[in-house]
Amino acid sequence: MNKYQKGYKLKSQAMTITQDKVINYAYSSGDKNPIHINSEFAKKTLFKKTIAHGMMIGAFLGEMLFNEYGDTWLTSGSIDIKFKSPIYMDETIETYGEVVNSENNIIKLNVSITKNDGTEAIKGYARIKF
Amino acid sequence: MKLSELDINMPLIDTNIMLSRDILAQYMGSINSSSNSDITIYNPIFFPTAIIFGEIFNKYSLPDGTIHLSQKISFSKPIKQNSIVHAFAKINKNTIKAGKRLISIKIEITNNKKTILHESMCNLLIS
Repeated sequence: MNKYQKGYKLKSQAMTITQDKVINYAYSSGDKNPIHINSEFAKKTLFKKTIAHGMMIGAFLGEMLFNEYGDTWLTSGSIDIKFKSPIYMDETIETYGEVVNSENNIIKLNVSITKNDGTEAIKGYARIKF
Repeated sequence: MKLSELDINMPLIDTNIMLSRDILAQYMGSINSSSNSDITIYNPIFFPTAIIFGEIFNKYSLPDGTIHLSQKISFSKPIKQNSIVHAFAKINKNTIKAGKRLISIKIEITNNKKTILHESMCNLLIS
């Protein structure tokens, strides 16, 4: 099965989110919301602990798609995702992607990120024109 | 100025932004990415929008604990690393639902010919 066919599953990628990575992301992106980087502040929120940036986690989906489709992905497409569950420090997450439709040189993929306890953290879809 | 007090269609930023390779390297490090300048000359899809978010959050005060609910990014042309783009962002929606404020921000990234490269929409929940 080739990667543009319906039913093709992308190679999943797993990674563990650490506070160091989140701080690094906060300083590179400029999004220094204390809910991500200040554990004392986070204790007072409904999450009780620091959580990763949604855009940081979403970027893993972008990387999964890039690793599979290369510059084709970067040239013309879209991604639409919802952040369903927070990701805490030291949690391991895994990406998922599957081509669910392929016609007229456009593929549509379901994409998601799941935590190691099975909770879906991000869900959405992507579209690539090739 | 507080983001939550701004009216719909109010421009948040309308400025040129440098997508520096140094910042990209730091960003890539945080997401363990293998896609770097050895593999492609282009920026990863989320990077320009992430940098523009940072600009918005630095310019406008967001209540601490603001939560990012959803994100949509469409792209019609790739954006080269180390390039300057024009970023325009505005409030698309500012409503109160179940006692929580929901703000939608629309971002357009264009090149020097005013061609739209990326468009994105994000929804934020402000406590």
